[in-house]
Amino acid sequence: MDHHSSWFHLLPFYDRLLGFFQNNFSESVIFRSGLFPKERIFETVHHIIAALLVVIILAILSLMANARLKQIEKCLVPSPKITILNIFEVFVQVVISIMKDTIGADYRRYVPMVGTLALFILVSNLIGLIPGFISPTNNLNTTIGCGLLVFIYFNIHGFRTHGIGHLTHLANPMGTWWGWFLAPLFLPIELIGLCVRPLSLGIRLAGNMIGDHKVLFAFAGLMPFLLPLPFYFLGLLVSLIQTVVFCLLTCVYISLHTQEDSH
Amino acid sequence: MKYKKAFRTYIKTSAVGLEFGLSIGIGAILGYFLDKHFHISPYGLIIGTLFGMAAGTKRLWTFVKTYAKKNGDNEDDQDY
Repeated sequence: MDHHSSWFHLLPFYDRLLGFFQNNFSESVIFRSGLFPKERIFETVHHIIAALLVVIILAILSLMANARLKQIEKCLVPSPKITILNIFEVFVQVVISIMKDTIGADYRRYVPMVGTLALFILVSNLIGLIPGFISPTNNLNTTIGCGLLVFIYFNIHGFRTHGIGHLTHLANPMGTWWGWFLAPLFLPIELIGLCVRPLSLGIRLAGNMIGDHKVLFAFAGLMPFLLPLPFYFLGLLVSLIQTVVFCLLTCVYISLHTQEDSH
Repeated sequence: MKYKKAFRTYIKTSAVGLEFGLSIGIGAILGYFLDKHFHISPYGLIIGTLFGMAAGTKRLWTFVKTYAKKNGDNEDDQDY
């Protein structure tokens, strides 16, 4: 297997999919403008397929854990072996503890969104460590997509909590009558500060994962036997830490926009 | 518990650092597009960069103020 191929090339429809993108999108305006070289779109296709694979893996694992949960009498006493249900329980406990510490008593409302994102990012990061697989989070499109999802989510909850005050707070953070005279200065500053959040989430995650995988592949290329082991360990660490970082910062942003005393 | 709080503070501090730099970048890019659209070069870029710097500084200021308050009052961990 050469450097540019992956296990996805063994899929029967994969070449047809690449051909579809090549025929339909390689001459679109965005690529002619020189913003992205033509070859980049094929890299993106690999990442989209990898993201779909992660979603399928997560769906299957969740269904298996859910089926296990339905057998209540078996769940009351935890299994001595490591099962899927145990792994999910540990994961949910960690996510809930982060959210409880950061958001406070009202954390339960946000568990589905933050937990789903954390699961997707963790599995995406880890799948890149398997030789021949591509990590979806190795691509800025995936990570900024996750960041934008968080951006929309905390704004929706900001509106839910503060109503129109969520918007007026951007123009008049002090909340005084004379604060409105400073609105032309504050509005652009606050808007830039707001728009930077999804970008910062996405760039941090993608940067760390790209760097991690580059180092791993560089050393695996030097000597495939034993030498990559410490870098695999570092990769595992980076994957876990970056998931926690994304999860924690999402919670911080949610709490900043939903706390009653934040406005 | 102490290390957990320290870890959370490291993450939040690193986030502020990245946001500071990105604010300037986003301000500059917005200013550049204003220049292109309204043909006001180079004022859009200058004003955009200044607004970006102000946004980054404000984020840093809020973070430091909350951190100082937290340490001064010895309160529980807060969000910056």
